[in-house]
Amino acid sequence: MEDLLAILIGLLYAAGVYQMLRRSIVKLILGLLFLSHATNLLLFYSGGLRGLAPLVTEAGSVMDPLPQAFILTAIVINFGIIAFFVILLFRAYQINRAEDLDELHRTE
Amino acid sequence: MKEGILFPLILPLLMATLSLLPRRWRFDRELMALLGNLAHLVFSLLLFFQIRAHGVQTLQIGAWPAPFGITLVADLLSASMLIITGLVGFLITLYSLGSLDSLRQSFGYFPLLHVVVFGCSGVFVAGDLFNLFVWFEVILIASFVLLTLGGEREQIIAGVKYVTLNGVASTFFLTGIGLLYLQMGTLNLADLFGKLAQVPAGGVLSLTLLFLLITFLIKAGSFPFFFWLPASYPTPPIAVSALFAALLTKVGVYVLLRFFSLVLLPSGVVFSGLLSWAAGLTMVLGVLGAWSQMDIRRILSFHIISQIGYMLMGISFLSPLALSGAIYFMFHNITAKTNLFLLGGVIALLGGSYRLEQLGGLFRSFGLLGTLFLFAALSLAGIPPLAGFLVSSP
Repeated sequence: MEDLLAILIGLLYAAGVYQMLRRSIVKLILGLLFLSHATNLLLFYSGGLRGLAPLVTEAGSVMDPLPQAFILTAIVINFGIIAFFVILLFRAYQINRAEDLDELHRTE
Repeated sequence: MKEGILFPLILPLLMATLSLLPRRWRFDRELMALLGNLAHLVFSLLLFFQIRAHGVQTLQIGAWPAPFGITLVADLLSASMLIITGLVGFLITLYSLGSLDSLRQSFGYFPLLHVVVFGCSGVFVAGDLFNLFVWFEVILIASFVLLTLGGEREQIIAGVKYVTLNGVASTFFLTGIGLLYLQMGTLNLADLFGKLAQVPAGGVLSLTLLFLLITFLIKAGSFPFFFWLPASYPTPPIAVSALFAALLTKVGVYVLLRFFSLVLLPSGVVFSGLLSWAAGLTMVLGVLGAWSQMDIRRILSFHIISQIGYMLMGISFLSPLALSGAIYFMFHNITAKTNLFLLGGVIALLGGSYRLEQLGGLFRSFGLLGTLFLFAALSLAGIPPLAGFLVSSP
């Protein structure tokens, strides 16, 4: 289970970086989303995969609840930022009429 | 009184919320912004004197014990940063009242200003890394909107770059936090200081700390990550540029200072050589960039980068004298640089342009303005009777 999760996190990071480097503004958002999901999973992983939900009834095999609180916070923050970013990129597209990020660069 | 540390946080949040209310339920927004920032300054000063008298102030939010709950810590450095944040907030509010168009003022400029002050104050009293991350995001989301408020073409394009880079920086930060928690089981800075000294420095730990270091270098605008700064700072109205120049990069420098002394030093993984190189290149490249520009705002933006390099150099030496130099320089830079940005705005208002080649002869017609600019610029250059001299001659 841990190995599987590690591979999945790695794949998500790779996909995120690849998408961000592809110049299309839609893929830029996708890339950022992948990166943030990968990070959230990594936080989840850092709490230890011990099976039981973090409700302490008896000590030992419960997961650490703190990283899960972190993830919840991070998800909410990411949601806000991505929502803002989508609107911003839409405005950029309206102004520039180009889907290629290099077109943005040239106007500087 | 232990809760004194909370006032510089609650006040801007309260002001931001109140300014969002419909007009008939609240006071004048402008008046609230002025008084709110002034009160922030007063509370920060009170906190400063409280710390002077009784030592470092800490507060556990919700009375959760230290390594698990949210801890707020304020020492003299935090309090000094809070004071200068209040001062800058107050002065920029005053300046915006005269310079900013009414459309931006009515579309949430003042609430956003309060949120930036709120976030910066939070960073200065944060006691653990995750809390720090949250404060960073508070500053970020407010600065995203401030940067693009008005929706002009350059602003939107600058916004795309700024948001992208900061989004990546946030994932770096969170990755670093996750990896660090995995190894140390704590994120409280004071707790990390104790625990890191007991574990041997290994490859994974170095990588983790490198993630965090890169995040803070991006925030500070250091080489090789500074390119977002000259692309975004010159585009919004000058009052917003001045606010960003005064606070945002300095927040990065402040966190680097804490990170070096509380996390990197005890862990034995010290990237001080790496940081010296980055600092040196930042200094040189920033100045070269400023040299090649003709627009006042661009020159000043590139110059911020170069000065960040000086502060990082001070941090990288890791001696008490160099650190105090870096801190002193940070305060000096916040005041002098904000001054120059604000005066640049006045110059552009009088001369009708930000381009240097169209602004000739301004000193003859507006001598006082020219003298003021000269004072700030000479101080930045380190001419003897002015504050910058002390930095250049330790």
